[in-house]
Amino acid sequence: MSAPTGVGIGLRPGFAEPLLAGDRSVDFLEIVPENFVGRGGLDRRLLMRCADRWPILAHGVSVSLGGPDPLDVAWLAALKDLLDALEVPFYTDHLCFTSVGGFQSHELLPLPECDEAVAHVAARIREVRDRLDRPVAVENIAQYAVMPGSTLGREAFVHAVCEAADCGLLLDVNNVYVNARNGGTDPSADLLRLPLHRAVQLHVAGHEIHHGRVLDTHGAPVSDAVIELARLALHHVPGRVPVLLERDTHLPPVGEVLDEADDLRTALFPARARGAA
Amino acid sequence: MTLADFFAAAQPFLQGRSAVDDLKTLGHTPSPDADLAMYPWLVAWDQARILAELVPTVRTWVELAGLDWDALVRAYVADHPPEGHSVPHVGAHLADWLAGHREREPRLPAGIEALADFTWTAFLARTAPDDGPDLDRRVFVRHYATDPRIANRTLTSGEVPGPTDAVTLVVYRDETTGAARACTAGLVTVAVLLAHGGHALTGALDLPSDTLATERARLQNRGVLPHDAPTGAGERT
Repeated sequence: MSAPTGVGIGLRPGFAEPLLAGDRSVDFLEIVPENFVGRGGLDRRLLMRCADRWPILAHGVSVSLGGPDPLDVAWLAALKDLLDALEVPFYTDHLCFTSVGGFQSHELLPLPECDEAVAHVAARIREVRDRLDRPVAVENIAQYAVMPGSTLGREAFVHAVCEAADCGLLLDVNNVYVNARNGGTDPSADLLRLPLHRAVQLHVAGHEIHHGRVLDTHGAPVSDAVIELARLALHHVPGRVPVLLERDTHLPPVGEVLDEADDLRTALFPARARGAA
Repeated sequence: MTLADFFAAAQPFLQGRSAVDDLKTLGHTPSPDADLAMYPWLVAWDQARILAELVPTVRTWVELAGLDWDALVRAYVADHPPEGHSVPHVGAHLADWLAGHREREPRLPAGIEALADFTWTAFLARTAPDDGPDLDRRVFVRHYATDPRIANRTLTSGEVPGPTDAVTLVVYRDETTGAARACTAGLVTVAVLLAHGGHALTGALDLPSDTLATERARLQNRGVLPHDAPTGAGERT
């Protein structure tokens, strides 16, 4: 189960059939496992066919790594079965909480950036890693507010958690950009304060501006500024890590997403893109 | 402030049951109130979006009746806070809730709870796990006071259709295409499904074998039952 390289796309609803029917090149596919765990039918069959052709990565949205509720061990067991079946080399989720007191928000909610939260979330990341029997990496989230009780700062919190959990970083470049724009800081400086030596994957996405606030919508083409930031990141991460083009809203046909992935590959890996041509 | 204090305050805040000022009593934050208020707004916005994607025609009917979709979702989620990992399961209780909500909101269109149940059941059938007894997971028999299949008329007329006669439906996953489908069901249908599931048909449900065979063939042609389905354990041969 080696990790893929290059540029991949998310396997979103309606993408599998045209992908399987066509001959377009993509380096890997990323799934949201919540869409498949415990489910069967056509979507599951198409996923398994995709796994025969492309490496699959899995990016969860609901484990609630930082949350107060006990980890859902039955669900983690079912998740492990899926990851095993797809030969997923590592699992990623978000450095946040999503549920509290049994209430599932389906949102990525920031934690107080404090030492107690570092210890709490790091212990849970280690438990998830053990239960899934594979490395875990956490994504730096887009964050629209700093929660009360924060003492460390955003990037220092990510750094401390990754070190305490001895886990990987899923570096979301767009989130770095969104947070910097909203907070009035320098995105490049913020990026370089993250534990880039632990990066195992990059996410690149588009954002939109509403009422003066930059939102991580995954609903627009990737901006030039984010591509520049991704180039900077690739100079500092170890080895060749996979880069995902995220698109979740205003979803165009898969062909257009693949076109954008090709453009991103050319922008980030020009030598490889020339070699493939 | 401990982390436990934070979570205790975060839950009502995120559910819209407490204010930004309540959260700020926990400690200092450099964020303006408007930034903190983003989070309960995002949670509510996402719940309305998730349900609109799950039951789009229910939303259309609600709005055609002059009701506010976001307000209806807020009231529903207050009674049934989302749980678990599956996003569509936010709507698991919507049909029953709509039926109960009619007492408080008589403008709800007739049959909207049937439409919500039918849409939800189709989702369950389409995504049912592949392992285990197939009929237990991907075939559902539902009785509706109004036929939810009339929802399609909304797309052409732009109006909520009037009530129809009651109908009993088999909602199922056609394993050939993977799509969720529905067909009418009667007593013989239920008998065939029970027999296929291994339930013995006793004297209380003693139907002629040719009647059962005809219905079994219909269900096979519809994709409810596989074509190699054996004669049920309880059927007379």
